[in-house]
Amino acid sequence: MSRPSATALFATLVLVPIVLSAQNAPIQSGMGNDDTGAPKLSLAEPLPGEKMIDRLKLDDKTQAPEVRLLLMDASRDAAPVAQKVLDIRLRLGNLALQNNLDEMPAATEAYAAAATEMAAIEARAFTKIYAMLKPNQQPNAAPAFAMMAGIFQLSPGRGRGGQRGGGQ
Amino acid sequence: MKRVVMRVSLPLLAGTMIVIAMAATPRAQRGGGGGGGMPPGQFGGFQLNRLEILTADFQLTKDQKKAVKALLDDAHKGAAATRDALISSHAALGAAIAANKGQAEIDAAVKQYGQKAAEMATLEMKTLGQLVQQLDVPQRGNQAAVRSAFLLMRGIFLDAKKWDSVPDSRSY
Repeated sequence: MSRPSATALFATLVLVPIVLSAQNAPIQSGMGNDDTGAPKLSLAEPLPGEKMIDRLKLDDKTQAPEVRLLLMDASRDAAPVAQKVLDIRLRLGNLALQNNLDEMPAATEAYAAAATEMAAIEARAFTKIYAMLKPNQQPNAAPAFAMMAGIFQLSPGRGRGGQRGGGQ
Repeated sequence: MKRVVMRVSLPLLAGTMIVIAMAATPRAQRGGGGGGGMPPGQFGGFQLNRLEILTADFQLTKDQKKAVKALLDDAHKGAAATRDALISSHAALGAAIAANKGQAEIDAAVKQYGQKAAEMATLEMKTLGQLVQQLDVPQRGNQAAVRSAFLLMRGIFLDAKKWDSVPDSRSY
């Protein structure tokens, strides 16, 4: 039998772990996981909830903390609905990939029902936020509500809904 | 003879492993293609736009890249009415809340918005299907790339000016 050369030893001790570690790098694109595998917000971009707080010019000490809590509560309520929306979207995607257009209308209808549930949660949260606005803050309500669109969704740009709105 | 073969092949093996290691590491770190060390959609600290991500993930040829761009350009144009309806229905919902309208009116606005959201989602997914159909069989079998494309489609038509931007937080 041949004795292992220095090169073989080098390959075994140094390169094999490098290759294995590269191959075992976490693949983080599982749907519904913490990391959806999709592009995220850059660190420089504020969370949507924080953008909304800025847009409404909420008082940092009184209004903003209350809105953050409110968004966190709504986010918790929205989590199962967000999962439902994502699941139906996945179904739509699979039907499209299979070119199964006949079954798409039913999936679209299901998506509409889930999106309506989600919009109702957004609307309830915004109703509470609007109620705490001062008259001089109310003119900013429309653009702030626009920022709230899909705020609780498990979307590519956002990561998990529960980590968003509140800006925590 | 066997001893000679071992001496010749081991350096070759070492060289091959260096190449594999160099090739495997950036792939593992890249966006939709595999996840890993940095957020997908970023490479070497740079954020990639949608077309760049699709090109990298599916390893599109020059012609395929052109075809995908043309497809998404057309789809973006075709999505204008759906986008406008989606945005206006959301604005109507906000206006109903601000005007302290009754629950029935708010519910109707919520339902209207939900329907528009579903239309947009369906349009995005149909576009995904068309995109993937343009690819070769091995590319279609790249599940990580298909999944990445699936995620990239969300909100792709929300910007009235262009679809080929770095994916951001806009949603619906």
